[in-house]
Formats: sequence, C-alpha cells, structure tokens
Amino acid sequence: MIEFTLNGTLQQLDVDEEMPLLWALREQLGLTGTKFGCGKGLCGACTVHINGRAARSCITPIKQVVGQHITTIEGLSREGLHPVQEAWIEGNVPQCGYCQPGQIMSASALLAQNPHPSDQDINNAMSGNLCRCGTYPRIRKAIHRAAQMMTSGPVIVVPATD
Amino acid sequence: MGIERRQFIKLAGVIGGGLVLGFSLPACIKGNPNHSGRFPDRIPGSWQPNAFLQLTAAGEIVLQLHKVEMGQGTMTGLTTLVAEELNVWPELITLRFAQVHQAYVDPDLHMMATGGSSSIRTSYELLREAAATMREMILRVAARQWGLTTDDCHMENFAVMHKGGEQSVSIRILIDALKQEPVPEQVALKPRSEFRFIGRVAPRLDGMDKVLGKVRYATDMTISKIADGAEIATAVLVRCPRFGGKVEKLDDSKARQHAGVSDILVIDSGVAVVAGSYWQARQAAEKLQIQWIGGLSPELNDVAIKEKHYQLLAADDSQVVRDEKAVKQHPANLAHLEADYTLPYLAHATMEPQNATIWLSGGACEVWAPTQGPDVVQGVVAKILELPKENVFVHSPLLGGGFGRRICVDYVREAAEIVKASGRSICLVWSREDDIRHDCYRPASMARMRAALDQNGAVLNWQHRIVSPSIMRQMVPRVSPAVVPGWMPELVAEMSGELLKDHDESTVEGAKDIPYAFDGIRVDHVFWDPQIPIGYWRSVGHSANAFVVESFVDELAYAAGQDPYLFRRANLKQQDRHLGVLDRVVELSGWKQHKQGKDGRYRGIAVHKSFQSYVAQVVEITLADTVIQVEKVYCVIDCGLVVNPDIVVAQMESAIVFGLTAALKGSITIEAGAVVQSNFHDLEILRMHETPEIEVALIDSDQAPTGVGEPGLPPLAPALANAVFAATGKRLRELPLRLA
Repeated sequence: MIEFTLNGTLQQLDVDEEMPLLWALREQLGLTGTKFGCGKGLCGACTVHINGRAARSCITPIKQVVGQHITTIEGLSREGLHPVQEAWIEGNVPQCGYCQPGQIMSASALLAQNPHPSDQDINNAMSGNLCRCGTYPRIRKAIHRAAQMMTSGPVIVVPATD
Repeated sequence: MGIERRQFIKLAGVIGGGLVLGFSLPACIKGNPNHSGRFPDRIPGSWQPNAFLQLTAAGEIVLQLHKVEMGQGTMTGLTTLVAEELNVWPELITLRFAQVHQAYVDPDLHMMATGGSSSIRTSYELLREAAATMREMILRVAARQWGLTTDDCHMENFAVMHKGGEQSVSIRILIDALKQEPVPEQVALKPRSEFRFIGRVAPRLDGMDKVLGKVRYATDMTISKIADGAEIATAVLVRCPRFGGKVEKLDDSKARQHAGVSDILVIDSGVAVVAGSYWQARQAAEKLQIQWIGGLSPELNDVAIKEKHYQLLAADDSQVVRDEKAVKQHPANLAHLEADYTLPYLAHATMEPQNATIWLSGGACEVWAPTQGPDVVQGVVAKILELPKENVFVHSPLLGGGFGRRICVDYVREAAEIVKASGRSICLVWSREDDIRHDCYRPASMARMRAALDQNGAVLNWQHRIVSPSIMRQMVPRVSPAVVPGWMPELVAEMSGELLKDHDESTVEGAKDIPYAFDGIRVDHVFWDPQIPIGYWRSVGHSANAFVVESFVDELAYAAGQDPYLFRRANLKQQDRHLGVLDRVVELSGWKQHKQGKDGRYRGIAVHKSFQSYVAQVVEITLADTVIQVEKVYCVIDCGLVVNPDIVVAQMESAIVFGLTAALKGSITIEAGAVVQSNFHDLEILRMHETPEIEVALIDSDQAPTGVGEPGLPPLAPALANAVFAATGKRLRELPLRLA
C-alpha cells in the first residue's frame, strides 16, 4: 500500500510501485489536470510539486513518493486563484492550454523558492516546460507580474497621463 | 446547397457599416419554427430559431460552436460575434460544441472542419446574421405585445426594454410567442460604430478553466466517464516503424501475462494491447515480440529522397500553373541567377498526443477525440463499425493543439478497428513516440529558382519549379470513402474525380500568386511521392513556398545592389495591402535607421500573403560563433477587421515560435523507410530560453475579417534566413538553418 499526502489529504493506493505518479494521479485518482505529453520527462506537461518543488510525475515511480507531499494543479490554491493563475488570466496566457498546468506548477515552484526571479532565473526554471503554441513570451511576463503581486500585496494601477 | 452558400459569400463582398444585407440565411441554417427538433442539440422546451442559437426556458442563450477550439481563439471570437448582435456579455452565453450537421459545413472546406484560418472569415456574417435574426424576432414579439414598433424597443442583457424606459420584459417570458413567430427574410446588423465587443481586447473565454486545469481534453473525458461507471478499456497500438509494414509473426506470450491485459489483437496497422489502464497496456506492449513485413523500402532515406528531388528539378514533364512571358524591352547584359532550395519533412508535435475513444451503447456509439473534422470522424467510425451515421455521436472536446494534425483521422480509424476486433469500448492512447513516428508530415520538397536581372535591377523571367508530393492525392482516398455525405452529393463528385485531375493547389500556394510585378513569371510543379504519410501542417504549401520566394527575392535584391526592403517595395506595384504591412514593419522596427552589424545585430525582412491575410516581418539576430540567436521579431498583420486584438497578437506570437522551431530546430529525418526521431530529445522544440522578444502591430482595417491562425508563419523562415545572409554573407537555402 502506497501512502502519501495529496493536496493536503492522505492517500492510499494499492498499485504497482513502479507505476509513474502521473498515471496514478490520472487513472487511479481521477485527477486529470496533470497531463501526459512525452512520458520521458522532456516536456514538463506532467509537472507537480513534491514537497513544494517541481517534479516530473511521468518519470517518478509512485514508490518514490511514499510519505511525501504532492501538490497538483487542482490543489495549487485552497481558495480562489494562486497569484500565478491570476497573472495568467490577466495576461491572457493560455492558448490550447494543454501544457499550462505544468507551466503553472513550474512557475509557482520557482516563485516559492525565488520571489524575485531574473529573466535568467526564469529561463532556467521554465526551459523544461514545452509549449507548442508559443505562449513563452506571455509566460515570462506573467511570472514577473505574479512576483510583483506576491511581494507587494494588492496592486493599485495608476493610469498613465499623457 | 453548399455551392449556393459560397456564391452568397462571394457576392456579399466587403462589409462596411450597418447594412441591411441583401440575403438571408439559407434554409438549412434558418429552418422553420414549425419543424422543431430539426437542428441538433435542442434543449427541451427551448426556442431554436436556427442551427446556431437557442433560448432555453430557463432564459439561457445557447450558442453552437461549429468550429473547434485548439488554442487559436475561435471559442472566444465566434462568441463575441454573437454577443455583439444580442447585446449580452460574451461570458454570459452558454457554449456547446456543435454536433455533426450539414448546417455547420464550411463553405470553402466542404466539411464541418476547422482549418485554413477560415473560422472568423466564414463566420463573421453567418453568426452575426443568426444572432441578429434572433434579436429581431424577440423585438418583434415584445413590440407587438406592447403595441409598439421595434424602433421603440431595445434588447440588452437578456431583456427587452421600451426605449422610453417604462417597460421591460425578460426574453424567456416571450418563448411561447417566439415559437410561433415567422423568421424574417432580412435583418439589419449592428453598425461598426456601435460595436461594444468586436474590436476590443477581452479575456479568452476558456482562460479560467485552462489555468485551473479543469479543461477536459479527450482522454480526460474518458477518465471521467469511466469514473461514472462506463466500461471503457484502454489500448495502445504497436506499429511497424517502417511505414506500411504489417505483422508477419507475433509472440505475445510474455505480454499476455502482464497484469491487467485483457486482449491482444492484430489489426491492419499493428498489434493492439487492451488493458485496464494506459500504464498496464504500455508495459505489456513493450514485451511483445513482433516481426514485420513489407512497407516502404529499407533503401528509402533522406539521401535517396533528395537525389530524386534533384533529378526531378530537371524533369521534362511538369504541371505548369502559371506561364507569363517577359513582354518589356530590357537592356542587354542580363545577370542570371539560379538557386535550389530544400525543405524537410516536419512533425506537428501537438502537446496532446493523438488519442480516440469509442464508447458503445446498444447499436450506437459515442466518439470523442481531438479532431478538426468531426464529420470525417463520424464517417470513419460509421463505416468501420457498420453503423448508420445517425448512430455515431461525435463529441468535440477542446484540443491540446491542432496545427492541421487533427484533420488526418488515422488514430480514430485505429480505435474503430480495435473496437471492431474486440467488441469492446476502447480508448486508444498514442505515446509521444507514436506521435512523432506516425504523424502525417509537412511534405519534404525541393525548388529550383531562376531569374534574370537587367542593369536597372528589373527582374525578368522569374521561374519557380517545385518538386513535391500532393497532400490531396494521399488524403482523398483516405478520407472520401468515409465522408460519403448523403446530404452533399456534389462533394462526392468533386472529390472523387475532379479534384484528383485538377491540380492540388496546396503544392503551389504562395508560389503561384506572388505579388511582385516581375516581367515574365513561370511556376510549375513536378509530382513525386515517396509515400511517407503527409498532411496539412500550419500554413501548408505556404510554409515551404514562402521560404523559397522570399529568400530568392532577397538574393535578387542583393544582386541588384539594392536594400531588400526598397527592392520589394519597388516591385510591389499597386499591392496596397502588401505595401501597408511592409511599410509598417519597416517603421515599427526602425529598419531604415538600423545599420547591419551595429551592436552585432543583423536583420532580414519578408512579406507574404496567405489565407487572405498579409504579414510582414523583420527578424533580428546575433551570432555566437555558428549559433544563430534570434533576438527580436517584429511582425505586422493586416487581417481586415480585428475581432479581438489580443488574440490576433497571440496568434502572431504563436506562429513565430512555431516557425522558429521549424527554421532552426526540429526536422524529421528518414532512414530505412522509417522516421528517425522519437521524442523531444531528438526532435527539438523551441524552449523558453530560446524565444526572442516579439513585437506585433495590427493594421487598422475596414475590410472583412480574414484569418490569423496560419499567416504569421510563412514569412518567418525567409526573414530569418535573410538575416543570416546579412550577418555572414552565406545564403542558406535549406531548412533547418545550419551555419556549421
């Protein structure tokens, strides 16, 4: 029996211990927000948090998460939107949307470690997440925006006067 | 009926301010309120004045989306058109993806397909009319009840108000009367000056669900159906790496022992493993021992393909699609230029791998899969399972990327074959390896360019020969037996004989109709198909032909000693919309002020029209030894009237990033009749750290809206190659671009 904490709740699964966490989440637990993109840890669509850090669930056998804390896109925010999600909405970031849960999980893990990421920090943290629709420029902008929201609290926008 | 509709659209011409349009919705869309239930997905009790809209008893306005959403923004754009005429916020309209029905057939594509960057263009009048018709009928009923005229009434936010402000009624109260109301012949559309939604930057309607991870793509739908009790098994299919290879010998003894495996079946395309979950099926499939036979020759590889292409560049026979001889007198001492260009096979690599679910219930079934053509899906499943089409119900989920891949329904066909062989409901899931190795690729091709320059820099005898296969010739035999539409007999006649005799326009699009006023233009095509599966890839023929045309124009510019922008400008006589985007991108990028090499930066320019939209781009690069670093891309598009400016900008960003992958990174190579690449380690896709800054400007236009999904792609590769030439003096005539 594999036991771990998922989005704050204790889970017990009776599955092959080699089964990747991705498939346990999707097919055993019905949490379909985490996506299958490549199965080899190359695209980032399967990104979740393990103890707050970004991890590729498609290459993480379930036996490796015994006793750990897993967060998926469904559990990113207890109530409402995580600032990353707010920034994503504000910037009209998603297109097809398939890679976006993975992008958001990587971005939120980055900001949890590094509240003021530089563009280079963003490159390093986000280059593992592929987007075929080309939302990268908007993702970058949204991460900066989310960082701003998270460090300065509510933001009052003063319109430019020309 | 379909042809009539096309003529209507052609006659309608440019849309200006608020006009009473001289035509009305064709009968198949308009319907008759006395024949309720004629259109699909009618909610019981609702009033359904046409195939697109209904008003429910609970007061919801429901829109049938006849185009799928693959990230390009149709869900938002189409809803905005309807919201405008009905004066309700787009967010408040209830959306359903339309079922297969003749009313939803695209007039240009002859199928209920989403593609060709045609959705907004073909929906702009259609949906506004459908919504304006609903509005007009509501106003008539309300006005009549109040003893007023419709001029005295105004519809907004699900209610009709008396303009004096004294009376109002919720529209749902009017339903019974509306069901008796005759559909008007003509309706007035809202004048552009009164637009509240069209033309505004607005949030995508699917944005919230996408950031919450709540969207159910096809396999997510399957998982939730299974959770609700549906018995659907999961299957994977092992195919011969060599295209067309079949199973000769199978040893499935080890695979059968794997936990959860319920069936192992040989079908036409390979060996299917059916199990309780994807992981079980995939693990078991890895234990199969298969001997394959047949398929493409083991001698078929990139070298052989290029050799054959090269030979055919000198072929005696070709299909000539344009042949204008030089007519002017030119001074002697002509300079002759000749250049050959080479393009590879390209994969789509949608982030969501291919998959299809077929759920049997009695003598019927439900199908869901990422698709750009639900009617073709219906046809294929009906044919293979020997069910009447009415018994095949196709759901259209949101797509995890399309790019033209989802027109080719091989994955649906495979799922149907597994269902047929097993007698069970099946969800077929492709791996990334399956997806990369069994795509329907953008065709590889070669082109030979020739032209002469006189001493004044005028171009004569431009000759463009293309050697390539034809998507239509591969696709039609695959598609047409399935489509056999009972309701569109013209389609069968068109597709089965005429289309194959006629030339496949996609081979020469972007080459045949070049805008330049060269003296003497000849374009011809030599057909050859090595039988690698091919299909529609974002911008199709333009993806190859624009690279060739805009690179060779650049070569001519330099040979003539002229600035590449000014050279193009001088030859774009009276091409106002080409000039519009070209001049604007020059202004946006400060092209005239930039000196090549300043701060190590070099620039290239290109302009191209595709899918009726015009795009010009300037690409700026630096070089790190032999590594090309793309620093910035400036992009200007004229797509007529803009429905949502932010979505248009997003589509330009999208096409540029997609185009950079094709120009710099991942191509498909062939060895022994099979694709070499298998996953993202050897098929590289552009990543965050390689993405340039992108700046987009939109031309303000009164013309009818035209497409934005594809037009941003064709100019990218040539603009980049032109920048590389400026930087190195090396003319790269093959994609992906390599300096070493």
